[in-house]
Amino acid sequence: MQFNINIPCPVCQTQIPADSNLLLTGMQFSCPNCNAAIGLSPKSAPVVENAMNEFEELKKEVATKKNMTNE
Amino acid sequence: MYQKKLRPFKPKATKSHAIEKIISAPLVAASHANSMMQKEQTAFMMETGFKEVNGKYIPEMIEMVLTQHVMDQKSSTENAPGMKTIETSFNLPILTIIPMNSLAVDQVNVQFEMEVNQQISRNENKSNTISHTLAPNTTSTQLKGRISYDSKEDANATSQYRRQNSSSLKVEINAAPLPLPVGVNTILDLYQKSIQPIQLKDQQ
Ligand SMILES: [Zn+2]
Repeated sequence: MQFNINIPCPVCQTQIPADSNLLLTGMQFSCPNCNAAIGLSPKSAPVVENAMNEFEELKKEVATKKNMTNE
Repeated sequence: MYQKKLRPFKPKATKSHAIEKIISAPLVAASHANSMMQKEQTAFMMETGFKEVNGKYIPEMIEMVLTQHVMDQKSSTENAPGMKTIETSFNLPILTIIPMNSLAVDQVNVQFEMEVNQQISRNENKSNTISHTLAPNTTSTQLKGRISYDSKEDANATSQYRRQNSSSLKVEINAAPLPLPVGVNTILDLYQKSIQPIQLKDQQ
């Protein structure tokens, strides 16, 4: 599985590798140290989804600029 | 016999193609693109990750759920210990879960091969034809000129001059951003620590 972010475990402060898109689907990620599982609260899902969409737009823009540079 | 002195022809092929400009153009473009991306990234971070309250930027927080399995004395029996699932909510800055890396131009490779061919032929027989061909890799430039002579000394004078030169040029440039200066890293580290969630102990 590909992880793109690290979230500090609220219990032991160990970094928990996670994927932001999978968090949006409701998936939980376990702390490798204390086995506590963290997931996104359904309450915050719309805010995160919106931010992720904006981030994807930004990534697309950047990709276009990268290609322009390559030409 | 008429003998016209021919000066050696030194075409400034590299100069006419402004080779420095050709090589530096992709690097300059990459650098511009990079700075533009950084600006957009910063704008995105400020817009998405913070909200302005009374002139201060406060991190936008999201709610996360922590799930832990704990032993439950109440449901435990003599043979099997009971388990209970506890769900705790905690808040995180939204920027923590957006993968902000990999947005910059990481490396620029410029490979350049240029072949400069000069072919000069000069025939002088009352008239003079000069033809120059410069042939870089993909584009070719031709400069052609014709000069008419009117020589009174010897109308049948003939002189020939041929010269062929060829040189190839290979340029390879790798450009990558320098690592961030220590000072900037320290600021980023402090910033990261300041927005990292901490666990609040129960008051009781
Ligand atoms: Zn942990």
